[in-house]
Amino acid sequence: MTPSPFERLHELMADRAIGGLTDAESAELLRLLNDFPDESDDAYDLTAAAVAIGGISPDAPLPARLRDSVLATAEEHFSVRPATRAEVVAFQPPARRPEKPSNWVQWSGWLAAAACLVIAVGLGLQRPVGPGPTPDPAREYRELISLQKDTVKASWSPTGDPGAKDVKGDVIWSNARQKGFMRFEGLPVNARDLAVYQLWIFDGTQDERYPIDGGVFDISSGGEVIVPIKAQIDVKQPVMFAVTVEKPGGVVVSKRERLLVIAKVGTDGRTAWSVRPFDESGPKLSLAATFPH
Amino acid sequence: MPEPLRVNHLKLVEGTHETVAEPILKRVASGDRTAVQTCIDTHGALVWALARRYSPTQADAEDAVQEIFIDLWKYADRYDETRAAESTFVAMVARRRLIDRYRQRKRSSEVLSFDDTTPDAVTRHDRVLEMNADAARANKAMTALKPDQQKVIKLAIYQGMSHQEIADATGISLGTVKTHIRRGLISLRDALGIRQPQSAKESSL
Repeated sequence: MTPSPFERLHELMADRAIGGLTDAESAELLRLLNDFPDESDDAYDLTAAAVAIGGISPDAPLPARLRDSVLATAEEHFSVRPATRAEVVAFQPPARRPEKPSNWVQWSGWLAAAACLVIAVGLGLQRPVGPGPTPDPAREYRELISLQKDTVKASWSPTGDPGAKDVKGDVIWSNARQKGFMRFEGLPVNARDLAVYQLWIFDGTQDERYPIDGGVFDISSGGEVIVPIKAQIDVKQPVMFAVTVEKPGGVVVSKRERLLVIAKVGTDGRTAWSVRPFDESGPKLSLAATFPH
Repeated sequence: MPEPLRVNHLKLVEGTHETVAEPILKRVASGDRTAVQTCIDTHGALVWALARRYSPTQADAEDAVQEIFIDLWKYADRYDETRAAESTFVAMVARRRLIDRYRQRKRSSEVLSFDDTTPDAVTRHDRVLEMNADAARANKAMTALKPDQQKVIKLAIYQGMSHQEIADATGISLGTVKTHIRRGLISLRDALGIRQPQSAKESSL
């Protein structure tokens, strides 16, 4: 007996969930789905998937090499999104890179280089750098500062990491413009082939375990530096900014091995944040926040 | 005064979707790049286990994993957490890719031989069932099926056997095999309570 079109539709959906369909069957399924638009296309597939999960033992994680490969493919897949690397503009002349540091964590060398630059600036060697027609981050930074409305501003606080104990500066962010800048003084020059800085933005409207990637950046000179923020997604309610040290190119999730500075947004009375370590394994963050009505 | 909210920032999330406030795939779809790695780490073992189960060689399984995750990036926005657990959706995407690869191999006359090192197909894994509520319900509902229905569904889903292969292996006629599978799946679907999507066409991958 020939099944009715409705029965045939379910027959095909069930067949697809089990062993797939031929091209002709797929075409037939599409036609029938058009005739029965209220029928779920994937209910059988979800059912078979649930059954399949019960029959396997996912105890073995992805092999490390395969995991890295999948991650690299993901990076390629999502690379069409906005660039992650923040442009860095320094007010001072480019610093001489440290003499081939054997390890990027040779912070003392960086600090010495930065100190030399500060002296150089004091001797009148300061000059603007960067291509002429590009936006002027310093001017835009000052504009944002003057706006006040719809902007948040917070000062950097060192976390105790030896690489950033003398860092000063602030961060300014405009929700309306979805634009912001970081200002640093004393953030060491990094050897970009060994490590980079990466900004993370904590948004009060999002799961707080997943800060927004604010962009990767280098510090190529000492003195005062303005860095544009390149948030990967819209920032709605910034509550804290944090800078970590990461491998070249940045990471999608930070291991927090080097958390240098944080800037808490909490002076408007709506949000109060306190920072304390949540374990003893390193400079990691745990926040206690209150949100008054 | 509301209870202070205590959270661990920058801490990698471990475990399953059930412990995550927002589905990982939703975050992937929204462009949250941090979710990509979380997705790989959360669902990698599941995808790897399925790929090994339904692939003839280790190299083939590794290729399949790559393709499955690309599918996940593409279809992440199709996930509807009101219809199924996230890992169920991941397994569905994985199975579709694996079935597609299987059919391609079949067309090229390559013989399929599943990985014998994987656990016994009918073994129940408590940990897995704890991780995925859909799988637990499916497992329970499976016991309510008729013995022949259970047998053919296990052979089809756990062993990846075709209808004809099941008919040959069990002596059950091809038509009956198809009927058992279809009716069994309907019973399981109803037991799982997988509802219709808001728009049925939206669910199509």
